[in-house]
Amino acid sequence: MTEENKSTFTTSIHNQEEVTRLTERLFEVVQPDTVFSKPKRTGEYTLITASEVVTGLGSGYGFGSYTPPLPEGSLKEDVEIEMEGGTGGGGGGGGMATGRPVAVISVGPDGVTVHPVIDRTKLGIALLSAIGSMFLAINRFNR
Amino acid sequence: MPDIQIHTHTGKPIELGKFTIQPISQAVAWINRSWGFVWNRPYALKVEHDGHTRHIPIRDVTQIAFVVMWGLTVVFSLMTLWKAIKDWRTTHD
Repeated sequence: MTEENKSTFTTSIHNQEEVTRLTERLFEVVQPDTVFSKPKRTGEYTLITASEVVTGLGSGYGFGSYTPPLPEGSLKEDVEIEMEGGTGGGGGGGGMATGRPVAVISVGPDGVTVHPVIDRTKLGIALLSAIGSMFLAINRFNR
Repeated sequence: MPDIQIHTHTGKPIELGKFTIQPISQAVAWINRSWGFVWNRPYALKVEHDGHTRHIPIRDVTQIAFVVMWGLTVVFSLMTLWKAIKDWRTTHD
């Protein structure tokens, strides 16, 4: 991941083309460098961390204008009064990025091995949900 | 209509002692004009050693177990719901 991608940035967007250009920057995340870390040597082994990266970005804008209706029964050419109208617009956007280590690759005298990284908290929560729903089902079927 | 693309990229070879490793990543990109989503994950390793090349897949054990457990949760919840509806119909008929 490049230094630029790691940092937070703000930018002003003036038109749809700039929105599209900003969205296309998401393709920078598609490169393998984003998910594989640089090799780190510890003793006889060299370690590389492989992570999953999820990024999202969205932006939108809108604008509108208002022209008051002509007085009833009058033609546009006849109207001498000053017609007050207006225009306005605005937009906004946001993004997110998350990363999670998936595996650690070790290269050493015994070869290349891939060690999975297990997220016990995530799995614990999912397991509790599964057990809870299983007990509810058993309870319902035993009635 | 948003365009979903799947890219598989092979990184630059890394020389580590007797081994040459090439990381392979796979990305799912769903990018529209005003919004986008990219999920990039490690896919495999291409390892060269003594003139032989082999692919080592990188499995996301956490994700697989997570999907299985949530699948079980959905199945049990649907079973409970089905039984609850069946019981309700029996008592109201």
